[in-house]
Amino acid sequence: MTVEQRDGITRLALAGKLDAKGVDAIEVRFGASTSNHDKVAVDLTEVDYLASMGIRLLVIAGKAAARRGGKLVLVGASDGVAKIITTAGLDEIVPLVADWSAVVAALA
Amino acid sequence: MAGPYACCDAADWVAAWARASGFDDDIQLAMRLCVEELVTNLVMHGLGGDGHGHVIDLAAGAEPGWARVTMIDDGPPFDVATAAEPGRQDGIEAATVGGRGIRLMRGFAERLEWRNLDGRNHTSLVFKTVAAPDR
Repeated sequence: MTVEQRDGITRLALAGKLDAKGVDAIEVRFGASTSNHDKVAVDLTEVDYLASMGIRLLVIAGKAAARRGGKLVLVGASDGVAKIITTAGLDEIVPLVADWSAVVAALA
Repeated sequence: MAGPYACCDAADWVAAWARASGFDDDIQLAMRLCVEELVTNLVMHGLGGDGHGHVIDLAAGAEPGWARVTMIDDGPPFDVATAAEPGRQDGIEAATVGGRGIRLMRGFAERLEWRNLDGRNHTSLVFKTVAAPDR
């Protein structure tokens, strides 16, 4: 997982499988990285698999951002990961956008 | 024996079986995801988050155009085929954290089947299969 600031947005880039093992490996650092920022983008470009445990992680972070008056968006999902996101209904509550310009627009 | 990562172990097992059976990438993904969600659901909700002391049996089989994965477990009776799932959620504040595993299974498997036999759950995931293109 990498974390950077870009355009006033905290960008977290995840990689690999976001299943139970993958979530356990990043959960503490992910939570710490998202807990103090109002504008958060989670880059899924390098994520090749997403299970419900990973979806829980994203929902919890999205709810925490909303409680602070902020917002979390998802960007860069592959076709396979995007299908999992839409089937689970995650995109109904956390915006899924295609590229960084759409992230900036969504968090403006 | 179910361990802390039983869901991942089961998903890896069925994905390897699907790959060895020559199914395409979409079917491999669907089988991995559905088996992971089935075992996750059992351990988290049926076995109280800890699968110790329980045995989960998995079997997979195929015939032309179809594949079936069956899980047999000794958790409380639970019919995944008819269980309620969260409805559409329009706001992050009110959204439930969990409950999306059943929705994923229904979306990625062709059919879910459940029977209670001899006090154990027999849950089957049925998939339409497509052979991977020759590489």
